[in-house]
Amino acid sequence: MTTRLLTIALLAALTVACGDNKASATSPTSTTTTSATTVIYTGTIDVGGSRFYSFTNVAAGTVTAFLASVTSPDTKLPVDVPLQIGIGTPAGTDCVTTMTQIVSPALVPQMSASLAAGVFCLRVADAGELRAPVSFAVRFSHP
Amino acid sequence: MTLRSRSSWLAAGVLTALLLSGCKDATTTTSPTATSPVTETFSGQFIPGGNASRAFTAASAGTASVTLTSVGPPADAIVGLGVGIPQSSGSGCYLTQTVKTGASSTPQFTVAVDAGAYCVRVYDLGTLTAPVSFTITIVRP
Repeated sequence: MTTRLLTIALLAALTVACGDNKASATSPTSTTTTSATTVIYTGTIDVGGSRFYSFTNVAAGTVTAFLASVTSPDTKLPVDVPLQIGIGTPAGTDCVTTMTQIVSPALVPQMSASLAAGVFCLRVADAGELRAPVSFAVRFSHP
Repeated sequence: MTLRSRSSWLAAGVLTALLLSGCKDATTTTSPTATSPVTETFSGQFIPGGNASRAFTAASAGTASVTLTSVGPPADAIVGLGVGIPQSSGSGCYLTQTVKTGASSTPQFTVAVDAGAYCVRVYDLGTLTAPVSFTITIVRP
């Protein structure tokens, strides 16, 4: 009888131990995120010129941009010249930038900014080093 | 100790061993399957004056490498190889950087990338006189 009781107690203890392991699993925490919109802005810039693109943030959040490509319009091959990219607000026929950066092409974000919801613009401009028109591509993500 | 008592202890021992091994299994963690980096192979052919492009997607930020592992004939053919982002039309690349190269076992490009879509392009430098076949290995996050 003692042996049976001992066996039952042992089984109960082990069952509880195993049950504790199982119960320790936690459910994944759900998170709510606003999906980003990614666009590629392309165009051609003349010597001393600029282009800008308006975008609308549907919610406050971070925007990121990188100058992915600067190429000759003729050969479509990369040219080694930096451009200026900037973020600001549209004003008439231009984009008044509040932050700018001179960058060479890369495949990682080169500029990021926390912006409120609303209408903003991305400006791409000659940084003073163009000797001929160039084509460019900027990958841009915003809320 | 009676024979019955001995049997009970034996049964208890076996059960204990089984349950302990069961508990051990329950606490064993399975390592997640490695998903990064991923290796993709891009093979094809292009004609003199032509090119070929392929898009690939980096699942996360990291480092991507591109290797032109074979090109020809001839075996010593030199072609252009570039990396960039895909055009919105779905064909071609906006090139970030290029190199003139032959086949190699060493990556021609090792670049930092953000999560997103990228592309490679291989093209004639104006020296080909016949179609060439090529193989490009892409390792990406």
